[in-house]
Amino acid sequence: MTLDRLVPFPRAALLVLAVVTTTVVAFGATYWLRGPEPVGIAQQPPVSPGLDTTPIPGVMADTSQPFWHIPYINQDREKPTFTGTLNGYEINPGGVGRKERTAFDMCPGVGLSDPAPGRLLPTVTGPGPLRIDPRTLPEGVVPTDGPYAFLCRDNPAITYWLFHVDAGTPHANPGGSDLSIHRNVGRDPVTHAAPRDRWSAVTIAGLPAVVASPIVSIGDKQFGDCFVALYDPRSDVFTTVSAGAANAEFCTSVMEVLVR
Amino acid sequence: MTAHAVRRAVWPAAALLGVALGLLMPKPAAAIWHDFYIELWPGGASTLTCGWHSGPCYDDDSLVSSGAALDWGGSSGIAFLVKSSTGSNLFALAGTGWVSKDAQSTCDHRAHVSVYDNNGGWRATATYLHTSSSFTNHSINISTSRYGLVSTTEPLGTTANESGCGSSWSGHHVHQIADGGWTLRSYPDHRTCNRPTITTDCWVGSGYKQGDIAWSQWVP
Repeated sequence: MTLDRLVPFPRAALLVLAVVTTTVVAFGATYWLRGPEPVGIAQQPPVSPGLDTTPIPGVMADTSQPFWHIPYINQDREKPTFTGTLNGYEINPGGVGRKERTAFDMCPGVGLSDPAPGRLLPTVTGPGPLRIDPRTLPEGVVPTDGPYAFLCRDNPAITYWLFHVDAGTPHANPGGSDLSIHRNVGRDPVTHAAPRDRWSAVTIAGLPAVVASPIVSIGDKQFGDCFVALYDPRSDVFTTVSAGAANAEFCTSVMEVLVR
Repeated sequence: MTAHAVRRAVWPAAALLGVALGLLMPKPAAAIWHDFYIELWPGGASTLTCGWHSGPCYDDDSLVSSGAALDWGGSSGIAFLVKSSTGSNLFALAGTGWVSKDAQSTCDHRAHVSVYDNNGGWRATATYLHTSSSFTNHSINISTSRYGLVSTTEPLGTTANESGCGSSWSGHHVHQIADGGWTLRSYPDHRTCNRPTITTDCWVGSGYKQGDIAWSQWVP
């Protein structure tokens, strides 16, 4: 059986195939040899969106692009900071109508004192309602500064500690975050500042609490800080947790450990 | 023209067509790395009163740990102060700072600035303890330049009066903490710079950066 019997016009078909192959090979070689487009020609300098640029409703930001977060910051800036009562908490970032308690208000007559030499760490990590123990915190949280503790007549009155959150920790920014935990005896107003739509009333360990979300959280990327405040009437201890680049789940998970 | 001549001409024509298409077909722009560099400077008073330490700077070296904070004494305004440069010809900003009040309560007056790159990735934080602040949380642009360091300054407040808060608060000062990716720079450790001999042990001449950080950002 010959080729002529299998394919009509075999020579013409082979010719077309050869011509197409030649064109494709020439195209591929030329395209590959060109290399990438020069940046200065093909890519305009990314310009930070203006102050009036806000997110497009229904469109998810492409977090791989520079300045994706700026429209969310702009949107947040335009909203008034919430001042009022939520879930039983006075949220008063400006301290309006409030006189801050001094150390002498907290411990009349003597003020607050330091733990005895060598007792700082046990005061903060030991059992008690003001306990902050890094060993119980989520994996990836490591101390950076502190701890701090102040006593009123030998009884812990204030503890706080600052931490670093490693890159890759769940619910924190991919680059990591900072974290701070503050606990004190007595109930203070909440001074964290956020618009009303970022505040939520929640229950943690059976107690009412308030949570503020960061400005934006898309996938594993966040911009802005999370914050949680909880007052435990049984111990008369007020606790706040804030992280500079994490979502509300992260701050809540830290609070859950503290009040467990 | 004969059939033979047509067949001879079709090969260079096909090759030329391929080359032309290869030249005209749009290609994606090159994705490249852009380098950024930021220095964190002391944003408070100019007198160093405690070298690198963590937590309270007690008047007993054995009770103090080394850390990422420096104490700057004196009554003054407190500011976030950074200087930045870049090797990029595309960016006039190194990133965004998120300025936040962490706490404004008894014995804990604290503000901080989280430094984000232009893709919203957290890079570092500068925290200012003993800082009384009244601002509302907000963002700032961190300027940069390929022609040298440019400064960004953001006022944060004033040194707080925390008298009655134990002996670790020895007067108006700011405890400035470099958290995150900062590389800590040449200041004495608390073991050589601490009370009671601050004047001789903590002298560092004219101020310089507390730490710095560099990163590269991939732009598609």
